[in-house]
Amino acid sequence: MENTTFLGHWKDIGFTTDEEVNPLITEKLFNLYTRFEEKINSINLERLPISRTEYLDADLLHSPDIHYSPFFKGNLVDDGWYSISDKHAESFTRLKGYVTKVFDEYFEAKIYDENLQGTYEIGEFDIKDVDKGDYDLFEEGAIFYWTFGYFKVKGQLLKQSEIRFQRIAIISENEFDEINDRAENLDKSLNWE
Amino acid sequence: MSFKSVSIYNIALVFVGNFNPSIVSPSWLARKGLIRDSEADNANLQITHPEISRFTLSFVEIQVTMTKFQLTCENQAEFEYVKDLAVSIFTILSETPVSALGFNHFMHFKLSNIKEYNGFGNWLSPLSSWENSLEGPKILELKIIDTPHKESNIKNQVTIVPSDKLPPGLGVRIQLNYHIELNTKSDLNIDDIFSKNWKKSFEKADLIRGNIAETFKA
Repeated sequence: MENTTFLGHWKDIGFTTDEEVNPLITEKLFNLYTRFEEKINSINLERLPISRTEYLDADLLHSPDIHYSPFFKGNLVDDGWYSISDKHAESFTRLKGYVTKVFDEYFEAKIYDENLQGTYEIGEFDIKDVDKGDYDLFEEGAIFYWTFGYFKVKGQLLKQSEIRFQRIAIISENEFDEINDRAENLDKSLNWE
Repeated sequence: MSFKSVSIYNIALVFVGNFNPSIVSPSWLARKGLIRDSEADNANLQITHPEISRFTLSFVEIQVTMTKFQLTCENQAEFEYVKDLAVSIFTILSETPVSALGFNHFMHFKLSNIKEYNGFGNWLSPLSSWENSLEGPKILELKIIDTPHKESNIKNQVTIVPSDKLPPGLGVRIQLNYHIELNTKSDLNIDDIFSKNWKKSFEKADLIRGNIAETFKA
């Protein structure tokens, strides 16, 4: 960028004559702009937001002459820094259900809210709503969570619905027998009167 | 409105004991049927080392060292998945020595403006007595603990700091550490511990939030 071009720009933004502009200030601003431009061009735009380490390493941005960078405007407020959650719930409902009948293209289930005792609804769900990764669990009697609502995903508000089958550790027959033996031994050791 | 609802709710379950970090991996979890195979395939493995293991699945980040086992979830809608996973892992590893367990609730609240933000700090701990010693004093961190009965194995600690998930000067994070001391002489009955305390810890967190909402006036 030519110095003369910058001087010309300086005139455009408010000063009308060269006499009003201190040439030392012009030179300083020109140097700062050049460093700034080089720094901007060296940063991969697709990696926004940057990590805190990178931000702190950008010593140019710590220069007292530059307080705000429009480049980082999205994550920078008053020299502060914060991280955006990858995903969090804005408003959602989570219900629990269990499969009562499976048909070719849909299944029926009893749906209830764990926080409300004693009431349930009967619902029909498309088989396509079942994730392929849950096919090993999908059968009559299987328990699932049905979660739907609005979620902030990397800063964007999205409406989502998900069925996820509950996964609980199942103990093997050997482990069951072991537990049973331990319980029997404990029972024998107790003195019932 | 600031404390009437939580803007962002995270949770971290922390088990304290003796662990083998190399055992717990995405493939191990998938082999045990605790996560989907696709989740294991897409896991982000950050560290795998005999002394520390850390990886991220779609709904949880797991970090295991030789003394701490931590599951962190940032999406309130997925807390139950993390609970099921934690219960299942420690059902399988029932003989692993665990001396304590903490349910850490991180509640982030967005305040209306900087005046309310500073006013909240001043309400927590009036700063007028600091004005002769410090210029423009502000609260950076506040910790409060309870004093439980001798028979109780539950201790609560509340920590209040600026939020790291909301814009600076507008967000406050209230963290509840619901700490459970365990009897290491008997095998871990994780199901029992969770059934007695999981819901209670949420109720405690909500009680704290509700009390602040009722009593703090900007």
